[in-house]
Amino acid sequence: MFLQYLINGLSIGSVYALIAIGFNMVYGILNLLNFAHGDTYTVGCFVIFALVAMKLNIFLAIMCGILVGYILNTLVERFAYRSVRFSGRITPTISAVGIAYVMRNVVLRIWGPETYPFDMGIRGAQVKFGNFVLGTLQIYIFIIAIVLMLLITFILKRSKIGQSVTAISQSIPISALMGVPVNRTISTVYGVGGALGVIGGFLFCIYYESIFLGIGFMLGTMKAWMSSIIGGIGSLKGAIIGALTLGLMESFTGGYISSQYRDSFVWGFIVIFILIRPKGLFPSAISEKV
Amino acid sequence: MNTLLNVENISKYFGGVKALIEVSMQVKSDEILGIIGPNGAGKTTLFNVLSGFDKPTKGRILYYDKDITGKAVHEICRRGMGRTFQNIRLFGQMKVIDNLLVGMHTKLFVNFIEVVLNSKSGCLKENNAYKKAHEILKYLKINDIAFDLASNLPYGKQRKVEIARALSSQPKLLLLDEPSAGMNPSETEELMKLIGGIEDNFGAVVVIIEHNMQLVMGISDRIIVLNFGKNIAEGTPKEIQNNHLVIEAYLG
Amino acid sequence: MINKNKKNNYGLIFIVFTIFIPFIVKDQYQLRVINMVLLYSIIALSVNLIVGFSGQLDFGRSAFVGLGGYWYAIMMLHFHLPFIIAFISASLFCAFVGFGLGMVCRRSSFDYLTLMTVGFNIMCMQVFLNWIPVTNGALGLRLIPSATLFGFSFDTNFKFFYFALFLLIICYIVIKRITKSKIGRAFEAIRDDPIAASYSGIDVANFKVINFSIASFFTGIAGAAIASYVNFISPFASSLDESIYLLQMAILGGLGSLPGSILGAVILVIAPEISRTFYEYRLMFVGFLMVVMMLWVPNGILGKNGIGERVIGIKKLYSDKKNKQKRDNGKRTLLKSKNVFSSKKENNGSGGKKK
Repeated sequence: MFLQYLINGLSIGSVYALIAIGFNMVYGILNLLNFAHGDTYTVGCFVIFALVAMKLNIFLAIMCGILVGYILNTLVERFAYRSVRFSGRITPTISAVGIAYVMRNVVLRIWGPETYPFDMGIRGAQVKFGNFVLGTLQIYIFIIAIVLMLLITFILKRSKIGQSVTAISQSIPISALMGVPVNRTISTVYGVGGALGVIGGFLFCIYYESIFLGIGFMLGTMKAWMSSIIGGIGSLKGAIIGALTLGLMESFTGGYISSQYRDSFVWGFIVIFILIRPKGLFPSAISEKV
Repeated sequence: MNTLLNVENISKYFGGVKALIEVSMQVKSDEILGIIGPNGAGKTTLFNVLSGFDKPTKGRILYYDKDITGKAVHEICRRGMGRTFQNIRLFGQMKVIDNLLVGMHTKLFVNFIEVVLNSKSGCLKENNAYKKAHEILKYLKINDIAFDLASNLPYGKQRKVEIARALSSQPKLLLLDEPSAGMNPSETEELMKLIGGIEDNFGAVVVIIEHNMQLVMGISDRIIVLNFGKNIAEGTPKEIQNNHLVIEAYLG
Repeated sequence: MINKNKKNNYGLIFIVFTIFIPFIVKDQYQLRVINMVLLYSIIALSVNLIVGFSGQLDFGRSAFVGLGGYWYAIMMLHFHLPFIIAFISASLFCAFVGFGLGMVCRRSSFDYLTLMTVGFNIMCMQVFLNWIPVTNGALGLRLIPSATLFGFSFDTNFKFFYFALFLLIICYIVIKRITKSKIGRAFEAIRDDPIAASYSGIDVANFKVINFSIASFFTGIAGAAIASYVNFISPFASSLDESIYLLQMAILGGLGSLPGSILGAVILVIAPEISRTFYEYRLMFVGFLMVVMMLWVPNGILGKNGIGERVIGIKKLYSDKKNKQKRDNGKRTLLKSKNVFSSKKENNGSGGKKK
């Protein structure tokens, strides 16, 4: 069973990682908790769902969904976050919560609270290794997630935009003075985060073969947040490792301890973790100056 | 003439950066101590370490012969250390008078019962606190803005409010971090007089970090010079002015 | 002679007018709504204490409402304790839990604390739903006894009104006194600049815990009162959505403004009752309101520079000049003569607007 839980944990963890990357990046750069993160990619996933239901080719549908995720996130940033960027901690967070609720309710109005079967015609084969089952789907998910993560890491370290992002995370006014296109870069970060989120959400839905409203906040924003806490704010590595850890934690807790109170136990562990290591596993080293 | 502060071989390393290297110094009562040095010399770091904001990597600090190394900021400030900041840190959404009253937090002994019952004794203590706060404002000549919101004030007044707030905690040791930054010559003159009178009026020993040479030379009884985290010279203003190490540090 | 119970003019007017409400409002449904307004005002005040005065974001208030309600219900139903003991112990229980939560998060940064409150809310709801032997799970607890004092039972809307009003007045007075005292100032200092606050001798971590405990105490009062009034408690009332709704009550009225919290409660409790559309879309409305308000009127209606001042021209109760005169004349009057609507330009933390 151990191996089974391990595999499951890593699979779901890699999905969480895709979702967490976008969240953690924004968190690291702008110190803003993008509460609406989950809800934007929910919209994207539902768009894919609707398009496929309308018999559109699945790959086109996925592209559309990703595009929707990208655009929606940039729009949210532009209208709900940009003007309150420097207004302290509470104001932007509440603005984020607000927009999250708006989007969630729009999805609720259109699609309702039910869970829909998410049948994309992508079926994974089951491979048996002794006494545990490995779905090929799980392997695909894991690989896709890793590839994307490597891609993002590469882009961040090498490309110009990656440098801009690092600069902005240190200081926005100074980056602006140095000619870094701050607003454009931030929009891109949000957008990419949204796109990744849609991919992650899509994989999530495929994994569980269902789609419903709750994949946004509960399974997206919250998991991303928890991953960031475990992994450390602002570091890509932290987001990924934190998410994988979270996935493993959930898998093992659900399996060995209790599936009913699984979330409570996971929360408990996170609380203990924070008490021991408040900054997470790989925190970025910026602290407040006096 | 006793020693308030005894700094013994303080070193502070931030990873690879050696902000302070074996700095030793003493602060005695009845004096104004100036700390100067080129930018990046470690002056503010010294204040941070003395006040408990940063823990020193090595060495220890004795405050009135008691070891305060590693104690928390609020602990140390409760024992009578006050401080102003290089970048002003006022309570922007509170009125000036409230800023001062927060400064008096440790000296205002109102307990919860008195608050909830709005008892006479509690009210009396609050009124006394108001009185004291007003006196401090009067000393700094800013009593006309007592009810203004702190964030609405012009820069020079904000600096004064910060000093006022530090004074309201009745400190025995007052650390001023570049108080005259951004002030014009006449404001600086006024500030000189005010700082000079702090010992007599408030009984606090002043340690002041400054870049304004006229101010710091004119006001200090003794000056310590830091460069690259080290204490390179110590003496009266005249001695410092003629010290070739100091001259090199600033020009070289 | 300092009059301990002296309230400002507005307070007296409020009381005089509201005392007659049950005689004027005969419709039981409307009276019921008004009673809920009174109780939710207390919750909004407690949210304001945490978010408005201390600058921490609490997304888990509904959990505490539930905790207070369930504790009261269980004490009354299972242990048959007298009302007053069940009621007060419920608030103390909530204060204790708030204390615990605060202690766990005492060194946490702003974001972690927020996350913790969310997690706490989720945990509580899970416990309420799953601990069936105690909480009866999703079915909730029914037939919770009403408030009874010395044999007199507040079981009608009419009677309960006065109980609720009494509670609100007491809570309001106590909270007001706290906010005007050094405790309240410490809270505000922590909100504005935690580092400078610690340099003023304030143990920031401890005060955050104190803040949570006090606010949770009041939330517990309201939670127990609601349970005793509705005679029923459901685990679904302690949802995250509900917490957001409670948060918005404090924000709408104006963070840092105590009358604002009452106003926010009035608006957000009555609106879904008046308009069916509002009820159905209430979370979307609230979300929309949040965004719009944060962008343009972060200080709500009665906050400083909020809608009240700008549009309707609600001026401060006592002008600063009057205060100044009182000080200079040597007649030092108390905190009460300070600005009642003493809120701020922006309901948040350190630094001003850096564009």
